[in-house]
Amino acid sequence: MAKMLTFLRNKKGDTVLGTSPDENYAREVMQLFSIGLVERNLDFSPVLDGEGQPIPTYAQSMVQSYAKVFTGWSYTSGFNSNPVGANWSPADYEPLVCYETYHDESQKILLDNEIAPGGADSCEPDLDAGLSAIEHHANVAPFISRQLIERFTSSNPSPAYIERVASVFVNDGHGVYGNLGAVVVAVLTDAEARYGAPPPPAPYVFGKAREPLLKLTALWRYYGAAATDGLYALPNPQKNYAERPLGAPSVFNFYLPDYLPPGELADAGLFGPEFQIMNESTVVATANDLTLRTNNYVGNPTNDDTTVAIDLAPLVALASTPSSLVAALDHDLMYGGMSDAMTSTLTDMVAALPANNPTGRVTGALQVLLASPEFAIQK
Amino acid sequence: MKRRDFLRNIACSSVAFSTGGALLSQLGMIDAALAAQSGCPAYPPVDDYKALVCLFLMGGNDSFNLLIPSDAARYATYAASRGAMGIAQNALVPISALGTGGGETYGLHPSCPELASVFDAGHGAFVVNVGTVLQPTTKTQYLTPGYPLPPQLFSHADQQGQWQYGQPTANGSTGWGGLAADRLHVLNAGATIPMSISLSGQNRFQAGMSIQPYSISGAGPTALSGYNGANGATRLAALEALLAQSHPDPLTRTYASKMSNAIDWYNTMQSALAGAPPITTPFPDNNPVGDALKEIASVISVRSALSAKRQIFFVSYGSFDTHDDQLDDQPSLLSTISQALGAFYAATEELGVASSVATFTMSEFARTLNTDGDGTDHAWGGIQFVMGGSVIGQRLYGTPAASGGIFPDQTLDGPDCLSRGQMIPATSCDQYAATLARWLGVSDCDLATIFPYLANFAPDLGFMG
Repeated sequence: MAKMLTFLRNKKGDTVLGTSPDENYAREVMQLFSIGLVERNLDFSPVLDGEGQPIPTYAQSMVQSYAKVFTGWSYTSGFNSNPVGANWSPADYEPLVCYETYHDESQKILLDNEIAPGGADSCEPDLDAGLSAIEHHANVAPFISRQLIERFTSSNPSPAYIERVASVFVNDGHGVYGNLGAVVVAVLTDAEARYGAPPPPAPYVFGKAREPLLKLTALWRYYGAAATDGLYALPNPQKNYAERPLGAPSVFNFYLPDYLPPGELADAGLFGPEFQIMNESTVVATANDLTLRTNNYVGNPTNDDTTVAIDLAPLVALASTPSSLVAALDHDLMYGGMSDAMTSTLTDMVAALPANNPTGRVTGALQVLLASPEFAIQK
Repeated sequence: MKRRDFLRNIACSSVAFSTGGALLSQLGMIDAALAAQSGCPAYPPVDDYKALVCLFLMGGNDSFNLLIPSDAARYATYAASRGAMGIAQNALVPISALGTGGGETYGLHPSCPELASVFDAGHGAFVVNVGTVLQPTTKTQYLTPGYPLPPQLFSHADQQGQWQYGQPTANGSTGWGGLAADRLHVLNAGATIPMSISLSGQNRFQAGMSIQPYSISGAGPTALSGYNGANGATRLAALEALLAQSHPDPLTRTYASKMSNAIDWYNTMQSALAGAPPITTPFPDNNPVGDALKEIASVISVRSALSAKRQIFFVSYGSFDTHDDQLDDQPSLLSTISQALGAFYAATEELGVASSVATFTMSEFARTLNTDGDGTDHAWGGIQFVMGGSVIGQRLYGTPAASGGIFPDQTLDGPDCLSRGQMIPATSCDQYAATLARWLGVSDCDLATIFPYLANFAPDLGFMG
């Protein structure tokens, strides 16, 4: 993080050299990771001023104040240490330490008018004060809760759903603030996230687009994917999945939580974060790669030691009865949510594929299911 | 439900069933309704071809290191403000700007000789100190509480959105390129693919009310594969049936229409590109911007087969967010775009369309003139480059800053900028955009709708001939 958001070796300003502290982490830790840009109620709705306008959470001066808080930190091997390649030593993997010489010792006004006092030896106290002020800002509970809901269950949760989760963030029932385990339980077990529960009130819509890479992991996880060499080789997945684990192209990750897909969703004011990386090029590239993956089944003579092979034997055993095969796929990959129309289409298709090639029936059904609209949306 | 929304919903719920022709007839119906609603005149058919190519420099390009005053007095101010981020005076690539004040000279970053050549040949221009403002804004006004300002200045995503939107406000999801395409796509009579084509996936710039971009890659449109061979037709028919199914929720419908379009449009695009003439202009290797621009040149070369009279292309590149290691990173960032743009201009000459294509940069903001140690932070007004045979080139464009000239005074905390050299834009990004949209053919009547704040400024910066 210190490298990506560049507070590594961040120095106090120098009037002779004409330098100022780096504002990168100061801005993004507030904007992207904790409180966002406008004041929020517990249900994530914006707090409005007397003229009905949202209220900014901070001004540029607050960014410059936090930039001063985050000065002085670097590797244990020295403030100006810059290990690259073979120069990395074990010490360089230790937590950063602060070098008071480079720390801005002025007093800083923080969020909610909290103070980082500065002064001698203020490196760590300033950091503690700065992070504490962020942690206890009223936006944190709704901001984090809403993003976790988006990632786990729904792109368009109702305000009531967000508020129920955010309330657990504020107090897990045992007086603990910020218990993320309890928060995730609240996200997953909420009535709005349960199959068979009434849908959220309009215009909110339950469900989320599967991010492309999670289509592959759904296939791999259910069918016990493994390679003989023990690895999960997936070179350059961004080519076909528009994502690479730990490889987001910028601090904005792969897509933004407020992305409004143009067209019907945007017209209705509905979010679809994952759609930001799904276009005519990537949806096809993802479908094509998944087709190749379905052919990497245990027993395929073209496999080698690195092939991540899925075990299709339980499905092949059902292939002589198309309706049973489709029911199993519905259970395994769509959690029983497949529509009657899709069930019928897939069953007819399987029946039309040669009965003397049961593996072909299974891979064909998987290929089409993995590219289908219903699988693309997780509910 | 508003009439327009109702019409849109018809299109959305039907799109998965539609062949291209049926879809277009529905869009035609919507166009007629929209035109009636907007009150602006309809667009008569055209015979000529024009295209806009937007290159978005993601992350905030430090453009005050792209175009640098090189005369002694102003270079000294530049050097003092930029400190360690400054480019040595003797390393600048000199350019011959016309119409500048007495004794004022300029040079480009040493990584940009190709841009210098295009500029000096009269095919390139710089628009100086342009950014997101709602109305003319001085430093004093910026510092006055309550003065109207765009929301969330200095934030990447917000400022990217405002540059692409056509108004520096937070609402909505459309972009000015998409809104222009909504109006102009009627000129592409008989076309079966969208007039907007993205080489960089989803973007706000090309999002319209009815016209959305078609995404292809630098290697061309992406083909659905794995449906050949034995029983391939059976499997493809099943997939197409699932895509055409009536889906109860808008998330599922959105995916279905994307995949349907991908299949339909690929066939159209690929058969057109099969007839593309080879482009002999050399493009730089290992250059993703060059790959994208070369693919755009290929698409332009088959404009007749695509029935395209007007097109809007989008490419994005970066990160230009050089908080750290700027002296190491900036040269390769700038040389990548300079080499790619230089090759693309030459390719448009080879294809005989140089005067029909206008290429322009956008970037969410420029960066602080002073340094944070080994990089720079988010700022505001910056410099953009526009290129094409119809550009009245070899000039600098913009509105005079508070200090008097088009090129702002770079003194830290001077009349034109804040304490770290965050420049107050003297020219609105909407003026820049409207000048380009107007050249493409958008009527003044529609410009006033697409750019609601344009009325606060001179509507045309004059760089397009």
